[in-house]
Amino acid sequence: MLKPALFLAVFAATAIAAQEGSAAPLSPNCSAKAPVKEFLVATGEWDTVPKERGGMPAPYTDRQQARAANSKLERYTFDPGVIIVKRGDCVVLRIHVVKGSHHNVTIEGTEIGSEGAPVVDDNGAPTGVKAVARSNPNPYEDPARLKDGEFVRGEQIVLKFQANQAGTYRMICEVHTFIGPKGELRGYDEKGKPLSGPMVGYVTVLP
Amino acid sequence: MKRFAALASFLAILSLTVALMGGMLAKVAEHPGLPREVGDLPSWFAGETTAMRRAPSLSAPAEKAPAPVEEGRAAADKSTVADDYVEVAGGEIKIALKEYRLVPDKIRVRPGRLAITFVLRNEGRFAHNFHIEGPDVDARASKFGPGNTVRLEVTLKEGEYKISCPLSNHDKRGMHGTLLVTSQPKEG
Ligand SMILES: [Cu+2]
Ligand SMILES: [Cu+2]
Repeated sequence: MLKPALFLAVFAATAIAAQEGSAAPLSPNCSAKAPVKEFLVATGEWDTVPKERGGMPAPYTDRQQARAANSKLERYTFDPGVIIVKRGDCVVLRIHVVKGSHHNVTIEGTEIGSEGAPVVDDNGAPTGVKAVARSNPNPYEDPARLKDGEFVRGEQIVLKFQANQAGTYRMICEVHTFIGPKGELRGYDEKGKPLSGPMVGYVTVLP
Repeated sequence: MKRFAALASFLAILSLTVALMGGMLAKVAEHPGLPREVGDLPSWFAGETTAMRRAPSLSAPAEKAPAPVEEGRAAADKSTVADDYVEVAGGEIKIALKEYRLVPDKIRVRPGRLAITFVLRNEGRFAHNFHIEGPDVDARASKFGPGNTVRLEVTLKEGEYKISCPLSNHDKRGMHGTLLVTSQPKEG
């Protein structure tokens, strides 16, 4: 009686160990029985125009970059900026653009991102539009043409993935973040142009 | 019989122990917190460690990296001429993608074997894609994550093609290049 039980235990442990090694850290397809955890994430913004003591707009320095008087110092955010799930969860992030004309989203070390993601309504139903190269549906705002993965103010896209590996993943908007050679997230691009960023959130997968 | 039962139990317990240890080691290995070889970021970013582990790279670590052209030569594994174009004979062309570069980004192909297979390897930290546009060709692969390699087959003719990453602003930030199909020697 004892022997078959032991054999089963050995077999199960080996199978689990083998399975853990194989899957991508975050995979685009959820297994049918994975518990679904859905989050609504809005794009927010902090900004200010630094002023002198007397109240007049002042020239200032932001991260070693000189900025003229009246320059807006701004940063876009994901709100909430930290998403916490458990390993094995099927994670659904609905990302709604409130602030900023357009954004994209990509998660470091994975293929998960907004490219081709469906635009949905408040019920989560697809509208038929996808975040691919297209003309901007907001004619009053720049840019006239959007590239793969970009979505605009008033749109809500869905990212769906299964969390296979524990850890903290950086989720960034590349429109508002410059990635340095070692992976630093910068608020200025290589020409020193301010990017209103870095725009970053974190997905933490508990073991 | 008793001896046999004792031996079998011993073996079962031993293999259970080994399997459990294996499982635990796998769990530990999967957790970030191990030292990394390159980069200054905290080691507990899962994407970071994953990208590093899965893309051991055609090219050297950033600090010791040779100039892009040199990398390109190595990647394309072909002879080169004096200008900064990488010469390839056609057939298979290897291109590495990272933030925000294509390596190599200047490629000259001799007419002949113009059924080309691009072998595209993501050596970056984030997803990328590949787009080639020019005479009679407008083709793209599909998005692929760090550490992954995809292939794209196209048939080219003489002329100039633009190669780029079509995702968001990657092209604007430098992920683009030129592919020339020409029998002419370099212009100088
Ligand atoms: Cu953004
Ligand atoms: Cu790219």
